[in-house]
Amino acid sequence: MTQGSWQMLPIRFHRFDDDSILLTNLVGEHFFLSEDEFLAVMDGTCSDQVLLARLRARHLIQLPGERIPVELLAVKLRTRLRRLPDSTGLHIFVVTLRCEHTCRYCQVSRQPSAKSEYDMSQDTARRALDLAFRSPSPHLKIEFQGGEPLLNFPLVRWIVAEANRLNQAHAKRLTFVIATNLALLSTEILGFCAAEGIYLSTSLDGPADLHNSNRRRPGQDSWERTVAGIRLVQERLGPDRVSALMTTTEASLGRPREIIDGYADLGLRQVFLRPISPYGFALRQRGGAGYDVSRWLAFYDAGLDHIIDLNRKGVPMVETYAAIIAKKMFTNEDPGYVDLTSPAGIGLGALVYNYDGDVYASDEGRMLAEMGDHTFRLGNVRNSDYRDILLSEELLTPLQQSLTLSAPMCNTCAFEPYCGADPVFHHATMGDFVGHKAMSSFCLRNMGVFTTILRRARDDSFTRNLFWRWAQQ
Amino acid sequence: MTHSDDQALEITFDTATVGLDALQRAAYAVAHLMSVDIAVSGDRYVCRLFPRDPAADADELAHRVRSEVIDQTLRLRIAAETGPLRNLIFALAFSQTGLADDEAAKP
Amino acid sequence: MMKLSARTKPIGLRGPVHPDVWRVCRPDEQSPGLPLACLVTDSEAATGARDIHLGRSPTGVPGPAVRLPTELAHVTAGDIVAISPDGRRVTVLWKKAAKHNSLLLTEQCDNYCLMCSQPPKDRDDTWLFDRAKRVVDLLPASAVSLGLTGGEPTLAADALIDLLEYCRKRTPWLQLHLLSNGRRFADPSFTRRYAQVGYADIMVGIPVYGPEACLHDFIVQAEGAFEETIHGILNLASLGQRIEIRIVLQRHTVPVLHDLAIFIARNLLFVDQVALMGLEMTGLARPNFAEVWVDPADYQRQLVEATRTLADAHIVTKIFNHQLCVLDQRLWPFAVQSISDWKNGYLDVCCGCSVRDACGGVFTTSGERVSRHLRSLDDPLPSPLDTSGRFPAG
Repeated sequence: MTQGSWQMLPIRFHRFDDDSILLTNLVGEHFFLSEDEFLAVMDGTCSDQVLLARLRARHLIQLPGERIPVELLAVKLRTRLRRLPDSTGLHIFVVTLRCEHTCRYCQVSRQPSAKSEYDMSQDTARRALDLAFRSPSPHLKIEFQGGEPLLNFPLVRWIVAEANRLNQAHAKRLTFVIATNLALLSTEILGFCAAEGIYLSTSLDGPADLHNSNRRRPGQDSWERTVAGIRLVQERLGPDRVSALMTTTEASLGRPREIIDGYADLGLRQVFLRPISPYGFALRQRGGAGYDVSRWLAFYDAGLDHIIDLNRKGVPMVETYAAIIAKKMFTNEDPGYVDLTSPAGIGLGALVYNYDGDVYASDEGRMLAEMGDHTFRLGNVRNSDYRDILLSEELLTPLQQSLTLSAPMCNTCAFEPYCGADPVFHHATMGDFVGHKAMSSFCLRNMGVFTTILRRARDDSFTRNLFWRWAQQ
Repeated sequence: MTHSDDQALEITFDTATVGLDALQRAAYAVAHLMSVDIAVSGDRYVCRLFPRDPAADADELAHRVRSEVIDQTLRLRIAAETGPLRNLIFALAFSQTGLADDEAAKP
Repeated sequence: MMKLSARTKPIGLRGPVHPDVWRVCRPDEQSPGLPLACLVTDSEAATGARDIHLGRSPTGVPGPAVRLPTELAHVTAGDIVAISPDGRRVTVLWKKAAKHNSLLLTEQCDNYCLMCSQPPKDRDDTWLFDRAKRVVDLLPASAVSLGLTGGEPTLAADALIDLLEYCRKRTPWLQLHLLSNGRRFADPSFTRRYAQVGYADIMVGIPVYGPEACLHDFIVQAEGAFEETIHGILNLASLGQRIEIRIVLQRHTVPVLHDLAIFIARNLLFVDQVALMGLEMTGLARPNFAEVWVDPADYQRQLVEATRTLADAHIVTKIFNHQLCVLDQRLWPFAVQSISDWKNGYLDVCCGCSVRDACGGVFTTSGERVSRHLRSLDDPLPSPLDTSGRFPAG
C-alpha cells in the first residue's frame, strides 16, 4: 500500500524518550521523529517536505517506484555481512590454568603456580594450531590466555614459532596477543615480544586501592607491577603495543573518573568500560555478579561523560565499547567484536583451546564447563577437525536459535543492527539460548548503551563528530 | 478493566480491531511487569493481568498493555507492507550480479 | 579574463586552412608531418600584433600566415589552436602554461542544471570529437592531464569510446578527467565498453546534488536523473573505475550539505574523491541568480561540517573555486587552485593580500557576482599547512 507520495522501506521503531521516536533501517541508519511526525508518516498524512526528504536520504522511506534505495540498501547489507564467510578470526589458547594472582572475580578455575599438570602440552598446541589454520579467515589472531600465560612462556614461544612456520603455506595475516597481568615480565620475554611483534593486553581495574583489592597476589602489589609493566612495554616495544582492560566490580561503580584518569595518566588511549559477567568464581562469590543494570549504566554514563570531556580538552581518549557500537551505527563496517554480533561470535568468530585440548565456542563457554556445564564444548583437538566443529549441533543450534533477525523481540527491535546474540550468556542466566529479552540484563544493558550514545550524538555536535570519528577508525 | 476474585486485573479488546498475534507479542513484551492470560469470549479478547509487583498501579499496567498492543499492531503492519522489499533487499545482497542493473530490477 | 577566441586576419592564404588544428611553435622548431604554426613577431612591433605562419614550403620559406590580435597576445609556443578554414578566427584549445586544460566534446546535454555554466545546445556537434583527436595528436610529451567536458560527453557513446581508445594508443601517460552527469553509465553495456578501453589513469567527475532524488532532479531539471546517475556510479564502481563526486555549492545544496556528506559516506564510500565547488555565475546561473546564488561567506558552517564528515570518513575531499578570505581557515588545506587559467582572475581588493599566491582567485566569468566579503588578508599562511587530508580534531 502506498501512502500518499511515499512508500515505507523496511524500518523498525522504538519509543526513545518522552518526545521522540527512533526509526532505524536494516543497516542501522537512524532518524528521530516526534510522536506527531511519526504518526503522520505512518498514516500517510505528513506534508513536511523537508522531513520527508531527510527520511528518504536515510533510506527509511522512498518515493513510490524508486529502485535506487533498494539497490543501495542491498549493497550496504552485503558490506555489513561480507566478513561472515571468513570464520574464525580469533583463536584463544589457554596455555595454563596456573596463576599467582587470586582475583576475586576470576572466571577461570585457576591453579596455584606450581601445578604444571594444568599446562597445555606441545602436542595439544600443535593440534590446536592445525585446527586454527583450517579457518577460511585471511587473518588469524592468536591470543594467549590462562591463568597467567607467562607462567608457561616456553609454550607461548613455541606456538608463535610454529604458527609462523605453518603460515608459510597459508600466507594469512597473523597477530599475536598475550593477555597477561604483566607481573612476570622479564628481559627475555620483552625481547621476544619485541622481535615477534607481539601485543600485550593487561588488566587495569582502576586506582591502586581498587585494583589491588580486586586483584590479589602475594605482596599485594598487583597495581604497582601492572603500571610498571605497562610503562616498560610502552618504552621498549612502543605505546601502541600494550592495551588495558578494566573489569567492573561493585567497588568500581562509584569511581569511573578516577579509573579513566588512571588510564590517561599512563598514556593509554582506550578504556573499555565493561560489565562483569556471571561466570566462574564470580558467581560463587557473594555479590559477585548481581549488581543491577541501572547502577552499571549510571557508571557507564559518568565514564562516558568524563571521556568526552577529556576529548574536549584535547586528550584523545576512546571508550572502546562506544567505538564498537558507533562503527555499527555510523558505517556499514563490521567491527569484528565477537561478543556483540549476530550470528553470535561463538565458533564463527572465536574458538577456545583449553589446556587439555577441549575446544570451546567461546571463553565464557569454557568458564561454564568449569562449573560443570559442557553445553558449549565443541570437541577436542585430538579427535575433531574444523569442519566437525563448525558444523556440529552443539554450535549450530545456539547460533540458529539466537539469531537476532528471528529471535522474539530482537527481530522487531530498532536497535537490532547495533546489537548481537549471546546464547552463552542467556543459557547461563536464563536457561536457553535465546533468553526472554524483556527480562534479559544483556538486553537492558545494551539498550541503555545504545540509548545514551544516540542521545548524546543527537544533542551535541562535538560528541556527534567525536563518535563519527571513533566509528571510522 | 475489572478486578476479579483472585487479584487479577482484566482488560478486553475487540477481536475485530485487534489481532491475536499483536496481543500475544504485547504480552511477551511486558512479561517483566506481568504475566498475561488471553482468552476469547464472544467478540472480545479477555486478558487477565497478573502483576509481578503486587504494589504496581493497575491503571499503569493496563495502559502499558494497551500501548504495547498498539505498537505491536503497527509493527505487524510495517512488516506486512515492507516484507516484499525486505526480501528483495536480502535477495540482492546475496546475489552474484556485479552490476546494479539486473533482471529483477528492470521495470 | 583571457580571451580564447578572436577574429584574425589571414595573410597570403592560397586556399582553405587545413588541417583545422595547429600547434604554435618557435621558428626554429622542426617536427616533420605535424601541422606546426610558427610564431613570428611581426615587424610592426608598434601594433603588438603577431603572426603565426602555417607550415613551411619545401624550400623552407614560411607558408601563409594568420595575424593574431592583441586579445590573443597570450598565445605562445606550445599552445594548440583551431583555425577556421577562412583564416578569420583562431580559437585556443590548449595552453601549455595552464595547470588545467579541457576539451569541449559537445554542447548537447540531457540535464539542464539551474546553474549550468555551459548551457546545452541541441545541434549535431560530433565534429568536436574528431577535432579532439587532432588536438591529442599535437599534445607534447610533457602534457600531464586533460579534461574532457561538455555538455554531456557520453551522449555520443561511440565517439567517446573511440576518443578514449585513441588516447590510450597515442597519449597513454595522460591523466584524463572526464566530466559527466553519469546517467549513460546506468547502461551496463556502455559502462563495460568504457572500462574495457583499459585507460590507465582516468577519472570521471559526476555531480550529485542531493542525498535523494527530488532535490537532485530539481536542480538538474530532469526527472529520473538521480536514479540513473547513482546507478551509473554503482556500475562504474563495480568495474573498478575511478569516480569523483562533484557538488556545486548553491542556494539549494547548502541546506542539505551535511546530509549529502553523510549519504556519500554511507552509500558511496568507494569514490576516489569529493569536490565541493564554488559557483561560477555564468551561463544559466545568471538568469537563475535568485534561485541559485548564495554568498560563500554565509555557508562556512555547513561547509566545515560537510568537509569534516567526509574527511573523517577517509574520503579525499577537495574544495574548488573558493577564495581563501571567505573560507574558514580549517578548510584551507582542502582548497585547490582550480579555476581554469583563462577565466581566473584577482580583484583590486586582492592587491597586497598576503596569501594571494596560494589563493585560487575568482571566476572572471562571474563578473560582479562574487562574495561581498572578499578582502585582503594580512597574516601569512600558517606554515606548514596540514595537507594530510585529515580534519583537525575538536
